[in-house]
Amino acid sequence: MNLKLFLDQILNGIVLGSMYALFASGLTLIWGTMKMLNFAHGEFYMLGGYALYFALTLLDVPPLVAVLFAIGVTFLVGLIIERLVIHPLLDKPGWEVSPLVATVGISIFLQNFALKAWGERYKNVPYFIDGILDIFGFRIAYQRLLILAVAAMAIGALWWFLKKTRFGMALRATAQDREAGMLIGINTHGIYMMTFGISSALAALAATMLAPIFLINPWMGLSSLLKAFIVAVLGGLGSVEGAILAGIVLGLAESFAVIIFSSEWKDVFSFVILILVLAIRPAGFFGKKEW
Amino acid sequence: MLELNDLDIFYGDAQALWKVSLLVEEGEIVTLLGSNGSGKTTTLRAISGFLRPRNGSIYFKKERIDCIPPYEIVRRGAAQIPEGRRLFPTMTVFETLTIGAYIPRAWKMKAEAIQRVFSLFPILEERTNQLAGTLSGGEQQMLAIGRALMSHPKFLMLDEPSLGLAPIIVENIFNIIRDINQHGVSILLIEQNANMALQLAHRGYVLQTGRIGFTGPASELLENDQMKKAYLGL
Repeated sequence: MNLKLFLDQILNGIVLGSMYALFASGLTLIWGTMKMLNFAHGEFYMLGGYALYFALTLLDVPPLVAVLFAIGVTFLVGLIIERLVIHPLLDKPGWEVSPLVATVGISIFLQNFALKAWGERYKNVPYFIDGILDIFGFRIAYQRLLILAVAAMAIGALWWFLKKTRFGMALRATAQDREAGMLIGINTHGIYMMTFGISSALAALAATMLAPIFLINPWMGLSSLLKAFIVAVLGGLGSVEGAILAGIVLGLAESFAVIIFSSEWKDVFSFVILILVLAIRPAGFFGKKEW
Repeated sequence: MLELNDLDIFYGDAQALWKVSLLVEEGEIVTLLGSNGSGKTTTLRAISGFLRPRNGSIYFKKERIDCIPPYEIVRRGAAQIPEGRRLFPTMTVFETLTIGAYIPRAWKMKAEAIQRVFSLFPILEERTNQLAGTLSGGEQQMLAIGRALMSHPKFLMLDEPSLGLAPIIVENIFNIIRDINQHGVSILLIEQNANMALQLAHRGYVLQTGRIGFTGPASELLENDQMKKAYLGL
């Protein structure tokens, strides 16, 4: 393997991994706060993709506006679904699994809604910026650089929100001890709603960045969800730092797996990593550590 | 300040409290005593809105509160330091105090409030950036009290603050409770350590299997023969 190919794969791995990180941190955020898995997480990713597509084609707005629109719409859908579907199922003695089962229902509903409303034909959006940066023969598409920059900004913003803002700290407090959170005046149901919204918005952001590279379709959430589970478990469920680190690790591992073996083996490779980590360190990189 | 009238509390079909009435006047320290399982924590959870009474009512500052959610009760000025302290294990001392000021009217004044907590508990200032979960038991209890004070409560409930702490630290904490009270905060103190609690409190109530057994000024309870036998170990 020559140096150029090596660097290429590192860059590819980081670009892909940063998206895994964004997407999985939404999943882990919900687990950490609400102690439930969200099987509809992939469908919020799909909704983000479609929202971007329609903003670009029907509203004909510039890419930046379209991305913000997609994030905003998905955030609102997340809020509403939490309030209408999840909220009434929480805190019922003996109904502990019902929110989780409900997310499976939301997932099926949204997939079929997308299929019915927007058809099964794959949608395609153009790159936001065309062109390739060339440094000493080392070539990077601007779109990929953009993804990296956006991921870094989004992760920075999420960190700032969780560590420094009133609502972010309340979210962490609720995650660590819900009842103690109520005792300092936190409306924890409100925090749950907001967590769901933010998680959906993170999924939508990942979708808008990847949409020009992959294609938009009603089932795009499924395989992404599987990846997000791997990442979240690798990092330690509930740990945002863990999800970010694990996302990058998985991205790098996959991009090297592609050249060492071949692209069909990529997913096999990621699951082998998952199984190995679970065998050696079942709690994940940051297991049990709360944030 | 706080008034419980004939409270009946049930867990499912099992009744935990029978016609419990209790009064905390403004500026008072009242202690609620009783052995394990007598219903002390149940009473507290009813006041802070986690349990709903089947019969009876709870008034705080002349307004009925037995139908509003826990976070709203805190916003009205009643803070609670729960049993076992219930700190956020991976938040630093500074973060814990900051989020203690979550309610809107306290959030604006959080910097001054943190300084006030540090002047009450200088050890916490030395631990500013340490995680709550890594503090010693006494420091954790101080942090739990500090967190509750951050919301500027008019009424403070403490659930067994002496639990698991060395006598010298308990004394220190009780002195600070007195100090907080002298700054105008009414207090309801739940304790198993009846002797210490009655020396601090103005009045006391004794719960016996879900019913109020004795009540009276602290000095009288300390002299009561039955009390001496059952709770004071004399």
